[in-house]
Amino acid sequence: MAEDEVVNKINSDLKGIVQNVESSRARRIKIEVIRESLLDAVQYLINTYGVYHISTISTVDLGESFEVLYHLFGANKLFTVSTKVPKTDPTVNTLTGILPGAILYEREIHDLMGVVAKGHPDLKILVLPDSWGNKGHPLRKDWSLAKYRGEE
Amino acid sequence: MAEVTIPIGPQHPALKEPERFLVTVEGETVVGADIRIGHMHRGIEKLAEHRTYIQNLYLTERICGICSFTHTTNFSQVTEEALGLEVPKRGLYLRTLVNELERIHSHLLWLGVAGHEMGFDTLFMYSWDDREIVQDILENMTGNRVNYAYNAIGGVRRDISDSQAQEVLRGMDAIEERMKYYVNVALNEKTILKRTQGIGVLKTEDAKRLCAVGPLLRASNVKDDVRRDDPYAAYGEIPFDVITADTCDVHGQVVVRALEVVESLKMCRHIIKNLPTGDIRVKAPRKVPPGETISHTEAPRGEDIHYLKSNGTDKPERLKVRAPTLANILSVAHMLKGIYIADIPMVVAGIDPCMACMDRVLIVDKDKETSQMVEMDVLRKFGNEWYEKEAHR
Repeated sequence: MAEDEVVNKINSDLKGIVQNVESSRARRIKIEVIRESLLDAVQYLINTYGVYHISTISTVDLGESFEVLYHLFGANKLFTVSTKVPKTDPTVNTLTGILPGAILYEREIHDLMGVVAKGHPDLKILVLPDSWGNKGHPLRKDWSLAKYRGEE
Repeated sequence: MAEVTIPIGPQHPALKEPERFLVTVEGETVVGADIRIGHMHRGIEKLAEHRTYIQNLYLTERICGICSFTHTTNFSQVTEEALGLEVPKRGLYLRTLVNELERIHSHLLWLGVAGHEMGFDTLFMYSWDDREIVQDILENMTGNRVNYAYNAIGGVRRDISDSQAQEVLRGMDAIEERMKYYVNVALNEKTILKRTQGIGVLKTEDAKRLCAVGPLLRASNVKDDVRRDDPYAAYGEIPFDVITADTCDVHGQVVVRALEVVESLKMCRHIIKNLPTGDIRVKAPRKVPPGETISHTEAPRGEDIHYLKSNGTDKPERLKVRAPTLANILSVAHMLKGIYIADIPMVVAGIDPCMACMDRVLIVDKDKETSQMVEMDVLRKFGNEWYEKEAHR
């Protein structure tokens, strides 16, 4: 199935849920949703395209908000489901109920970007040291080594 | 019987992604396993935001000490896509060739490590000796044995001469002859069968559920391979079979890796015989226009993914990297449940992680409130002697 057909199909099937669907090149589909619709969009990909593999979760610091991108691979396509969350309330619903493979990736974005996956079974520290405490989330743009050391 | 908790790990600074497993045992049987990683998190993603694209090519090369080329392939691909560059065909073929040579040396290395873990050191000596054939080819082609610095944004850095191509072909012939022995060993050798069959079972549905990748996933009878499902570089034009095993255990992983080497040998020959003429690279601008691109490759250990967001400057806005071992950690925790302590080294070695993670083992006895530091060597020796003493299966 050509990418345009997939884009059109997702647009019509998920009307009212997706904000934008686009394909930058062959085998790449990006789906933008509001965060309340995240699980619906992922569940749709699981049901319709038989997706069972989550490759990883990326996060980008946009200044006032975060973009959270879920990279799902299936049906020979790399789907990216993306949603934006405000910095004042950086929470998303957990994917672990429908894709258990997301457990570690949600812990990782919690550590490094401070994006909380609501409903996650155990959001303990994954990559930061046990002694990290509340020294911030290192991948945020306003985090620096000087601040961490207390020099600023 | 009282439960005892054994933390295994954490790490050795020489390798990527060390991890520690907190293993709860009841007598000889493992009943639970918890994961703690990040002991050597180097902050490469943060670092990449402060480096230019050319510097980042060298940074990503150093993510892994064994499959360094797959990371530079990914980083070159995301950058080339963001720049809209078309890499010349000869460059893509050479890139694919080094990717496959890397898979051969990585799988032979793993075979040796697995042999060592099960007390079959002859296999270790043989396979590491034969791995040197590939290492010599890589050194001859790229100038280096490990971090080849062969990829460039827009292609590869060195062309291959006729005599070098002949050397690759000769090397492939030599390894193919040796692979007959290794495949026979993997399928029939009693030590391997005894230590791997039925150990570390990961059923097909569990492998899919836990999002396993690479040889581990294919040993669980899932025919997924990024090289086939999302062809990059020249993979769309090179015929190969995706190897799977239906035993869903560590033995399946041994067989998958051994047969994958045989496939890679065929692919390397095909590449040399069908190498297109022309340029090997195009010149790349230093500044990358705003955009976001994703690339993933089939590393020797499984799917490796890079995500790039560029902002119009010569430095990335964000680079996200997920190396294959992280994807397999959940599966290992699952596979450890229900096995004997003596089998822990085999199961952890199965996914081909950094072996040094297992260098220190702390045994905590909850009842006596005592703890005892155990070296990895001792645990390995314990495992081997445990199997020698009595026929457990």
